[in-house]
Amino acid sequence: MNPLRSQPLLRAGAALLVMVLGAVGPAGARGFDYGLVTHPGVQRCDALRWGADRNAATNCYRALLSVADSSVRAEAAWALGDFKSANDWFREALRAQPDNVPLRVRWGYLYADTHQDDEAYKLFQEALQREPQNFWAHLAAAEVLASSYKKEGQAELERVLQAESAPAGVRFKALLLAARLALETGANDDVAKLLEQAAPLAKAQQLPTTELNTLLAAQAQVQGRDTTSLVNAVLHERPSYGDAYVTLGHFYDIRRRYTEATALYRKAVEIQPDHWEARVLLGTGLLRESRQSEARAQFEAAYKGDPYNPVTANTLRLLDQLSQFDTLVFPDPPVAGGASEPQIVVRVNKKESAVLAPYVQRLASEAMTQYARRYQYAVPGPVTIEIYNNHEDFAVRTAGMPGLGLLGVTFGRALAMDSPSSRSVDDFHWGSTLWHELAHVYTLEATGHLVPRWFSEGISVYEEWSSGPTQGISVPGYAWAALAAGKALPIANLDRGFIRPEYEQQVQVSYMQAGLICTFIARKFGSDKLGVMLREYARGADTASAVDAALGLSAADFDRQFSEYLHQQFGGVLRGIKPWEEARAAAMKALQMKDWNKAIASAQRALEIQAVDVEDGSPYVPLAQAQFALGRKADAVATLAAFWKNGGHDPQALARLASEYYALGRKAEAIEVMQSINYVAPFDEAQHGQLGDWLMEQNRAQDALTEYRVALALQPADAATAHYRLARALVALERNKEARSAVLRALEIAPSFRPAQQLLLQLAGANKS
Amino acid sequence: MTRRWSLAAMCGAWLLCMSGAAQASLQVVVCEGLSGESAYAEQFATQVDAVKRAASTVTDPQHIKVLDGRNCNRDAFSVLLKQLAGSLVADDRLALYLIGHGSFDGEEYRFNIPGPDFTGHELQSWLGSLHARDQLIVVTGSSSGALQELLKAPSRIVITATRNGAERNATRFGGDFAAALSDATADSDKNGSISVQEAFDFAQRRVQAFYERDVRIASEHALLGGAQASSVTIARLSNATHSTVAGAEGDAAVAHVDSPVRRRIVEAIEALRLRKADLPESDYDAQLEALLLQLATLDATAAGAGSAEAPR
Repeated sequence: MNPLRSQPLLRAGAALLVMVLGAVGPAGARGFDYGLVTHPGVQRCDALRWGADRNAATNCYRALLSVADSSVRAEAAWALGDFKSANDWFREALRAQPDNVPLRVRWGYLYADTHQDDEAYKLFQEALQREPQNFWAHLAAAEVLASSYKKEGQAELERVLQAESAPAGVRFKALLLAARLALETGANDDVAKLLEQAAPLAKAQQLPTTELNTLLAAQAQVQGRDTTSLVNAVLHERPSYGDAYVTLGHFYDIRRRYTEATALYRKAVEIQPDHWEARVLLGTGLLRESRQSEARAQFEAAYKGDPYNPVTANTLRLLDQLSQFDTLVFPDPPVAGGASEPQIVVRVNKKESAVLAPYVQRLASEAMTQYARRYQYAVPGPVTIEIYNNHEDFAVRTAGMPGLGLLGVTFGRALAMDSPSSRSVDDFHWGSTLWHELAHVYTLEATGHLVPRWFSEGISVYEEWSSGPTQGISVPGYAWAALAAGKALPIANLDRGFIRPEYEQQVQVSYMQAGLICTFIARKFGSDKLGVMLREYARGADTASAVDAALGLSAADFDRQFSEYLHQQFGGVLRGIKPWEEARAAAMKALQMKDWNKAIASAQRALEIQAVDVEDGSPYVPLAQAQFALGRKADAVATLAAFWKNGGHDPQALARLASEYYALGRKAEAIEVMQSINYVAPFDEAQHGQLGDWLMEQNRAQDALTEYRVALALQPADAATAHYRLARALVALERNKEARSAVLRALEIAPSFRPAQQLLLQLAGANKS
Repeated sequence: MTRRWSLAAMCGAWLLCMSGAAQASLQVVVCEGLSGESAYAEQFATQVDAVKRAASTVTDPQHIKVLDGRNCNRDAFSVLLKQLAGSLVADDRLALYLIGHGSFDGEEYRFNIPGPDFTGHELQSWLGSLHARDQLIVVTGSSSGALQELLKAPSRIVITATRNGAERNATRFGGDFAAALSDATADSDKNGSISVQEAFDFAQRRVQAFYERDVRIASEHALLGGAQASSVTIARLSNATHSTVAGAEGDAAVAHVDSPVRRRIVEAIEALRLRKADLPESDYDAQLEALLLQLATLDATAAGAGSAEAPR
């Protein structure tokens, strides 16, 4: 038995994803210039862009390709989508004018446009080395940093905003960027102030106002106002300005209102077919709706126009991979007379489908039945569950790029998650992740995606703890430490912990806080109040209003009561983080040294401080191991049982508990424990065979059949026994024809296999009689 | 493939064969290398013990020579092999297990033992001087794959824990190979004994499952070189419920397994299996069932249990 090693942040970290694509502005499109480009010819062509006659701009830029100034040719080639020539000509221009800072900044923007932010940033830094007070370069650096959510971007932006001497165009552009970032975090008052500053500046300096007006439309959208007239005004001025819709789509996207976002991206593509980023976003949206062929068409078109976008290439490769997936539908066919529960569509790699599908189906059906009852909401259509055996495929499916740290993502009625084969069993409880994600399906769909991030995550974590396959409040040490240090956010601002975290692990801490808040609400006010809050959000309420309506409390009073609850319930660990951590570590160390008595004393000390502790380094495991070593079997079994009941899921520890239960004749409990292992480590053929045998002993042949089929699907070394076991279950179910086939397969492999021979003789006898 | 290995296969286990072919002996040599750490010392000792117990099921205890971790030095090992070179005859067989760490410097493999290590070339030379034609060499440690080409010889099966000398990390293979020798699930054909191939397959799958479980890049890839590993039995299982001849013992069991009638049925099943792809599934199953029923009836009669015996 190895010590439990779970990664709590990952276990609880299944998340809704804020797509970073286009977070600051759509890449792959040469944006507005507010004074950095000074050549009159380029300015004349730029003025024609996004007009009713798109050919006019194209012809204008083409004419510039033959001018002598290579920087002008570079701008023209860039606008025409010839990035390679643009790059060559910028290089040529800089060779002639190495100290031309604006030119270097423009070259950097070309790199940013071709998805090479690191290279772009280097050029902006080079520009700043030559001219430290160049505000264009500072702003450009802020843009690329902010697009990847780096904190340093804010400092760069502030430098520009605070500079009286910055050119008006830079200040204007900086105000727009700041307004956009504020809009993303929901700082609506700041947005209004920033846009109010930008408007007179544009008027005084006669700067283009298309982006400003688009942001005003986005602000209206976020505030729930009608955007029609504002968007129409933008499009009246520039009829093929796809960003009008892309920007609005982005603000739906980050609030997970994917249906509305996708519709807007479609409009963007309609008015500007060469907006490649819009096609990528549209394709991503279509994938969320499981419309793969339509999505592929968009990505293929995007690839032709912008082959540099890694999201496009990654997603096309992923779509190729999906041909290796099975699509399984449960129930199939749908329940006659109108299904009381929605169909479940499972997409899983063919190699794993026979192993995972039975458990996915069982768990998903159970979760959805519970959620429908608890939240009084019926999901209006099939729920698609995609399971990726390669984590990077999952990451690409989710964010278009590899390297994502999440385990699962829900888009609405579709969710994607890692397969248990893509992660170490020590890191990942796939059953809890599925349980968590399915809760998002309900919170998102029931509110039309209006639920705030914190509440959706809070309910998902609460459901993991209260009804999922690993029940018990499970909070990692660093989260207790953060809460003990007073880092809990006010409920009204908890979303910020997810969207713009300010310290390492704040996102994970926010998950835990959200889960604890929902647990507090359920315990103090009743779990039905969570449903009431959900319905308040569906009506468009903000958190303060939802809390007031559901609980009769102001947000501040709620925060006070929650803090009291935390200290009442978890005061031991909150007051004693250090001794708790020391006791846990001492227990593990003593175990390694085989100092059993010390291991027991230390583990018990840790459990006195925090009784429910099944996270990485849980004291239950060394405690049980030491008790076993000292021959205190009954104590050890009780310890493992407590570990399991509190949500512990180390497969080896649970396998030991199951075998001890079995040896004690507690067979039903042994089966229950063994079944729970399937939700963390389902790829052990011996485990399924064993469980099937125990189920047969309990006359549960149908359940045994499932286990035996899974064992066989794992292509066991001892295939003869696997077929034979299957035959026995089929005989018990009086399915003799299938049993005959199974026993023939066993004896085909091992003709002398005595028990199978006897079963064959029995079947032959039964057939004769 | 030699006649002797085939005979062993036909008999199902060397122990049973020995009673009818007493003139040939199976010599088992086990050398336990330096562990380096206490954890490895425990593992190696467990593996040596498992190999020793398995060997005792297929050969006479006096033919099992074990040099443990303190005693398997270069001199003792070479002396032992030289003694065997003087005593073994062509019909004898040798099973050599090297349990421990190895190293490979790009040119030479070394098995890590107290004092000077012995090299792959030395091992090649010592084995070459043995008259026993049929040899099984199992090397469970790091870098052992470097021996595959070096030790290749007719009628010699070479199992290494790694595919080359460059896989230098400590291996898991030895533990799983040793476990196979007494695990009924390794007995894939359910004949009551573990063949070299079965033990190898069992261990290889276990190792693979370990690395997959942890989603780690596998640092060892075992290799089996040589032919007819399925026909060479290296352990006899004590659990009789899996045996063909449960209920029958000793000569009676051999006589039954070796009876012309039974052999004809088994050969017919084998021939039918080879034609599987050419037959409609229902025809194949019908023919297979008929043959299997004959065999089952025959075995049940021999076991004295009859067809009415309830399956487990």
